[in-house]
Amino acid sequence: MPKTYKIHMLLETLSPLTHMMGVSGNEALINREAVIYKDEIRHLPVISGNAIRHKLIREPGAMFIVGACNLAGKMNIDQLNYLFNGGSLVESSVSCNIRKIADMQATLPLYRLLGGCLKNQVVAGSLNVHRGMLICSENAERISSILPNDCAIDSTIFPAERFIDQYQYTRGDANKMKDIDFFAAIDELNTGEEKEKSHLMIFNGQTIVAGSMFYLGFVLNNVSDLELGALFHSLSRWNGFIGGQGSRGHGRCKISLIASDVLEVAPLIVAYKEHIMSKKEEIKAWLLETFPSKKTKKEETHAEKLAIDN
Amino acid sequence: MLKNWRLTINMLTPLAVKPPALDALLMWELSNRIGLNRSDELNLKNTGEFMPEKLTRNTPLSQVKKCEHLPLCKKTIAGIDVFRCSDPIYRVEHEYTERQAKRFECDKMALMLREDERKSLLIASGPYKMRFVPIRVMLIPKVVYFFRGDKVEVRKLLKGVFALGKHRNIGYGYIKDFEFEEMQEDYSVLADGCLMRSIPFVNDPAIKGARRSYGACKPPYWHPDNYMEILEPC
Repeated sequence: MPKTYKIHMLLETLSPLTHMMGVSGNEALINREAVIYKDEIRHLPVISGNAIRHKLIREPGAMFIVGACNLAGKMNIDQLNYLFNGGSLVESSVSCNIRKIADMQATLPLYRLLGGCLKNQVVAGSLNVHRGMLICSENAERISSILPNDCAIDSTIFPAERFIDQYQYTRGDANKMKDIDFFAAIDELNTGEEKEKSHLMIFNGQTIVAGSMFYLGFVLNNVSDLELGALFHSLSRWNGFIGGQGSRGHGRCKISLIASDVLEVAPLIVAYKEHIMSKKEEIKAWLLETFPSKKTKKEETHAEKLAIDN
Repeated sequence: MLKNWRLTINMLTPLAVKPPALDALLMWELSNRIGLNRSDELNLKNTGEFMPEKLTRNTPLSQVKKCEHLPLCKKTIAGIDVFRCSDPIYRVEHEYTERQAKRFECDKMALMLREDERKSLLIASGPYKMRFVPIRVMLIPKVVYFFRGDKVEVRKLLKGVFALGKHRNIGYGYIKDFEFEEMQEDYSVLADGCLMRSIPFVNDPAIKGARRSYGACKPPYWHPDNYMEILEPC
């Protein structure tokens, strides 16, 4: 029986978080949203719902499907674009193939949840993702108002600006490397004016300090247990990084469940995994039918032609 | 009980684009619940064919299945029935632009692609275009509607509405709560002679705060068959 679920989670940063919105000069600025606090507009750090949806759900979920169905190295760009980015509308949308949508929803519960774009039709999803709201004094009342009655945020916590810090890194210059004369070919060594030029690059930006907390929320509208399982399964497979500078260790986080309408998560994950494992062939067939590669099409046409000729 | 009400929707997160009309919101929710929005096949009366024509602005209004039994009273103006609910009333505290990013991650995908699909990919335009799309965002603390109708049924319908505006799937326009307040006066269409919602054009100098325009004054607001000369609040 389809049901609507609300899931409340907490995200804790274990290393500085760099979720940027733009730059000012050569400084990366963290993403912020406008909030009214005590009759004033404040711009508070926020993790976009788009990033949460992609990094925590779509990407790990798609990775699992690719692995489970042994699709790595066998897909075309459109199939990958659909699985990892939700696809693009590239053909005119005059008819709607309901069979295709129904097959997708039956075999791929994750994509029923997320929705996506087939080549000529948009399929709506059933998941609404909250933006990640920083737990700070300005947000305390807002977050408490959506939490279940037995949970609340202490309003005596620090204001948002206390959670913002800076980072600075330097990208090295090979010319300045020790013993460059030994490593580089003689004619590659800079001489004269060129030698004086420095290619060192200093770059910096804002971060959210490690140990900060964000509220995450999910609303699943009229979903079955399989879709619920798909959500929790994807969350459990998330690699723990969000935002930029992950290669330098930024954005390491962990999530924990605060409250939800779901009683037990583990059986849902098991059921979802079993479903995917049992539908491998259907998933492959659906992907191939919906996003045929151009070459296969040509080959088929050629084969058909031969058959007709014979 | 049919009474006059003021509905205040307290917002939790900034809203993308603008809030909808109350009758449109209720009709969308009701259509969802009775399955009219489930698929395009169900949206059309003629479901004989397996692959029906997609529901678009070109579909005649007579063929669009819609549920007009909303718990709101109606008023007939110039021969057209309009629901007795005001347009959304809100104050924009702050308006700014946020960005939505989308990128086809070629670096991660390279090895997943079939050997013959590993080729140069155009990412400046076309289906794999990288995007950093601006979204117009408004910080609106509350949205107010005045309506005459059945509060219990309206509340029931709004129970399934979690967010307003565009980009609800990524956290814009989340609703904190709904507040209903009973009113003595009916401000749904006119408030002391001031126009509160779009109505069919009537040449009545007594109506204040209105301007002549062209558009729809009843749901579905997007359908061109509903377009006519209207008076809209200003």
